[in-house]
Amino acid sequence: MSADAKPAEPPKPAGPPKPAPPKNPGFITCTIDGHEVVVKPGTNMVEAARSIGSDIPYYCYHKRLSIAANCRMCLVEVSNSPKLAPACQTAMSEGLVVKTSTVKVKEVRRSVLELLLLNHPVDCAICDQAGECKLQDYYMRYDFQPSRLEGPKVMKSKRKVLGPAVVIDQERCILCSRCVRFMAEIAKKPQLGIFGRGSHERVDVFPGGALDSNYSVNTVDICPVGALLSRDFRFRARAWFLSAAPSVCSGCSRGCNVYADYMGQDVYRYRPRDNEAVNRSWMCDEGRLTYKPLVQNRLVQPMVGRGADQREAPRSEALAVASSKLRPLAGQGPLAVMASAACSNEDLLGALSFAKGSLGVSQVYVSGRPGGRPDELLLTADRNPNRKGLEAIARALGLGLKPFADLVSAIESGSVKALYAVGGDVPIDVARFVPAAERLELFVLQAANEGPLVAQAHVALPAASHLEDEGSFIQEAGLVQRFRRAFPPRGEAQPHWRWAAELARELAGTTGVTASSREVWKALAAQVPELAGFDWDGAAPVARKAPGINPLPAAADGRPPGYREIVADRARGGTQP
Amino acid sequence: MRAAMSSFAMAFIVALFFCGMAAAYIASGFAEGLFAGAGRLTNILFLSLVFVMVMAVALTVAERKWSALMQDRIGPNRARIALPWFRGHSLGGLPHVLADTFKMLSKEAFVPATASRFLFNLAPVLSFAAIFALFAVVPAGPTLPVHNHRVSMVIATPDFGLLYIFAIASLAVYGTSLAGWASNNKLALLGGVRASSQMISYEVALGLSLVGMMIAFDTVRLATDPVTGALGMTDAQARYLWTFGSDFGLPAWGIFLQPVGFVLFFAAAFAETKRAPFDLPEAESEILGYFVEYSGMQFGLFMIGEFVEVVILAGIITAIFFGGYHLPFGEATLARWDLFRQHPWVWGAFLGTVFWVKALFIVWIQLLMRWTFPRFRYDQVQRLGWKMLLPAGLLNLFVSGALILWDPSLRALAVVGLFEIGVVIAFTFTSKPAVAARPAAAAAHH
Amino acid sequence: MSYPASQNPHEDIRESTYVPELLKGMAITARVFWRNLFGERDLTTRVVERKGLSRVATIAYPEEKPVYPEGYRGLHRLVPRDDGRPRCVACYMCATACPAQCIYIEAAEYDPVDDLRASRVIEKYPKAFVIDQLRCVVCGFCVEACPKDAIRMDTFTHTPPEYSRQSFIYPVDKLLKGTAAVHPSDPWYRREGSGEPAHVHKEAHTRIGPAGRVEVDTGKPVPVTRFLK
Repeated sequence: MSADAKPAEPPKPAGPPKPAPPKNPGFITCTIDGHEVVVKPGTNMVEAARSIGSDIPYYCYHKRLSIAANCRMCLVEVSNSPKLAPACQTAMSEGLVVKTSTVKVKEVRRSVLELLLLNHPVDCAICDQAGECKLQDYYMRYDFQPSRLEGPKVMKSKRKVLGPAVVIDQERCILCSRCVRFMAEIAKKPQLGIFGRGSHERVDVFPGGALDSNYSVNTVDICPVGALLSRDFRFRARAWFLSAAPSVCSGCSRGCNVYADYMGQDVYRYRPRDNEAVNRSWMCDEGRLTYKPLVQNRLVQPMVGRGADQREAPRSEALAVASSKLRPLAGQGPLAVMASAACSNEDLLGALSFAKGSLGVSQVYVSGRPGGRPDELLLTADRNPNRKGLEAIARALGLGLKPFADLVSAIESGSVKALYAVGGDVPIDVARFVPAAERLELFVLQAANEGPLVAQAHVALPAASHLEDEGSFIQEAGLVQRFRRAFPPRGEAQPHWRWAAELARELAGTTGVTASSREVWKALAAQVPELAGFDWDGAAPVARKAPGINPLPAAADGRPPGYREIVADRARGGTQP
Repeated sequence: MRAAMSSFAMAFIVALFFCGMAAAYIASGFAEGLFAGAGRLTNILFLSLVFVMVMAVALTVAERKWSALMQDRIGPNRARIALPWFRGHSLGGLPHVLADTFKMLSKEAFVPATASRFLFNLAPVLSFAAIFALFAVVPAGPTLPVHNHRVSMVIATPDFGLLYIFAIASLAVYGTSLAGWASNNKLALLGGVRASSQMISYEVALGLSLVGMMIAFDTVRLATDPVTGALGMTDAQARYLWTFGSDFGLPAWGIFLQPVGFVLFFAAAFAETKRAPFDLPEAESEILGYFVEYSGMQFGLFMIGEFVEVVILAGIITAIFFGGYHLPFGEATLARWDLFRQHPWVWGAFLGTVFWVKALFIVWIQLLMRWTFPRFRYDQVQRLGWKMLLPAGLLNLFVSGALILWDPSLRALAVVGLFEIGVVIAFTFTSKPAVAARPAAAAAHH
Repeated sequence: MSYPASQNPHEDIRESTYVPELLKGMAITARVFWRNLFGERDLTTRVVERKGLSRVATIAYPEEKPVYPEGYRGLHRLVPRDDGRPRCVACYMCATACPAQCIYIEAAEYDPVDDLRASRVIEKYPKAFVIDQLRCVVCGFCVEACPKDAIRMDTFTHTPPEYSRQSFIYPVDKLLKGTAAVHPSDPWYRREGSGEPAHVHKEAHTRIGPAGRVEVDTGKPVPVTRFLK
């Protein structure tokens, strides 16, 4: 049918008035709590409100997950609807007026909280989430009334082991489904589901399955209540005792940004720290456990002698023995230097400068931790955090890099008789390297952990872990990442660069840089092009309103003095996403 | 229960006095049988070493116990003797004497490296010996025949009796000033200077306060000379000024004749002992004193010296102002009792007990004062000595002298003395009209 | 025992001559001395209420013990459950509240198949619960903070003296004593273990009480604070 054939059309009814042209073309302009907000199209109300400082409460919303809008905590008043709208699900539209703190909104929040808490067991006393729990926070802010429930609460399983790393308390769960969405969307292993109906609904694994993904503990992080619990961290510390140091996971070359939650001189857990370029909000279960070698089984005292003769020695004596044995070998062929790819840039700058300047070597053997299997998301095959840094620094200093296998064969052929090792990790099974180490006539080792190599060292110097010093790594993609010091080194341990500087002083009388890793960076990083443009001081700032929790262990439970006077987010390094 | 225990303890102490004095008389009588004057040697043993020393040692714990009672406390009771029955009993704190003794004897006798060693060691000896020798002229009992020998319960009867006390007492200042000097410690030196200035200041008032008694009884002896029969002050008080009935009346005790002299002497002698309220040369817990550098038994000598001084001062006051070993009345009646006549040593022991009970009372009064009065400031000490005690002593001397010249029977002196006592009593039991009286008095002027 | 004294001692001969006032003072001291010497000490009444002669306020301590008043904050104790294990669930509230930081706790987990029902229900317990009594300031904040009625200071005794500092470190076995506390609200009276109980669906858990108030024993409504502006 053609248009011509049609009779004259009756006049169109007047449609709805055309929307006003956008105030800011390409953006959406709206009003939240009386403030005009300009956002990109598609931005939801939670993010828009956060940008002007109005915090809308929510449980199920997560910026990296799909929107479920099932907790109903974020209901707000909007101008284009008689009903309240869920802020997480509703995108902003032009001219919209949003009110987040009217009486109506508050009453609805109170009602929603009452519903969520109706069957909640309120066992905060034994709940690991206490202190960082959104139920606690929002109850104090929006509800704050006794329970009106008459009769018993619904009982569910309070300790069901879901997998190797996670245990669930189904009673505490508010069924926000963050964990289910994470496993389906991010980890791509839909191992969790919501089962049952009505008040018997619960989060569980599928029958016969287990939550054994390498990213399962992220569900614990994103759980807004204490339902999902890390089996490693469970019952070990209360959240409010912990302080957070911005750090970097040293488990693999990905270099996930983390907060190291510590108390006294102990780390209790790693939590992922947001970094869009590296790990977004996630990290792997394997990486979460890499804090353990940094605090357990540490070498804390310099050791002198080898095998059965080995004994603890004061720092000065160990330095004197090491330098007196190294001095005749400096610049000679049989002396080799081995550097670990797990050491920080500052350690390598100091140690390799010493190796080049005082020991006179032109080649460095690369050691480090043995590699492993990568996975599909974050974990890489190279389990050393700073191989890129080692390569860059060696290149800049004009040192050749040789693989570790060459070192073993050189020792066995007798061409290397003395070894100065920075870092106690070797990329092969340690037991296979020990026979080679036994052939060495001089073995000076700087290692953080006890182990069979320490027993073979003529002089073993205790090195600080990366949590005990400021510094930086270069991760796999070439990003320089800064980590902050959490607490002072244990025992007599000190960073590699300081040992190297003190050895240089003993050997040649030169005054190396011994003040701080910042000084090392200032003095030496300029020669490395990969490090040149990095803002060392400004990176990974400590999220504290005022500097300085005194990190020394003071109280019976390791609390620093004055701990309780520090506001929560200052000590915790920021709030949960 | 506690009242009975306390009464029994007091009776036991009196019984101990009696036994001690009886033993002293019998021993003295036996000794006189060996050679003439040997009784005086046993008197040294019994009076100085047994009575004075034992009382002084017991005072170290008694002071603590008594002060506790005065301050609503229990007092020392933790030291126990590790024997089956004694373990559960504090024995009134007496084992603390043993504990203190062992402590002092077993502590190091520390001599500062910069101290003058000889003088440092000499000072406590000088200090203690001078005090210890004071008791020699104080009679503790009458002169009686025991085993056919005349026995005097006194160590020495020189005709310069009281002057001996003044002379020896002023020697004690050497000990304290030497201690302060030889310690080579500026705080000790300052303490020594305070001590010597205080002691020298009060020497004058001390002597002056007794001159009234000397002229009243016309002697400076304390004990009656057993050879010449020259009456001493003690025996001179054993008569009545006025009698009411056969054997009752007002005795001629120094307290009635010279109440002002008594107060002056008590104050001056108290200042000599350097105890509260005159303890500013060294107040153990507050002011560093002249023996700050001393330890062990050398410190113990200074400390025990103070208590010996307390006992001896009580003895001297008893002998001069409270009739010594004499009863206030009824003594002649009792003396006629057959038991006392047939066994004079029982009579002597009885009168000796009277002496020591009086002395013990004066000791108690001294401790009462110590725990009642606040400490004088240094300028107050000097002001009291020079500007109050000395003029008052002079005035007392003039008045007493005039009264004695006017009435040698001492009755006029006693009347004035009783009047003085009456005035003090009247002032004590009355109080000044309250502040409300003042506007009324002011209104009366208009 | 008090008597009027003039403001200016030079106006009154009693005070300017010093002696009558001294005698009065000595009389007071002597009276106290004699009444305490002969009086029997009364240990049953408080000093200020005594009627007898003796007013001695001190006691011979280890042989005689003072009667502590009601509400006295004494030595801590960990309250046992009726099966003898501590009620404490290692929530660290006391350690958090403690101003002297004298409480050290290490938490651990009971076996899910523990033979005691309470241990199967509440899985967390203090592996170590240590109070340093030398550090403690006896403020009682720990008792206030405890959500489980697990620590009390109702022993009516103070920390006994010891010969070594280590003896003042009180671990669980020294703290766990006294009578057990039983509350009907304790979770182990409501379920068999921490696993999911057999389904006995009741509508009870959806029955909501009247709005805005709760019923308590007094029968009077208790207004509930709401922070709605």
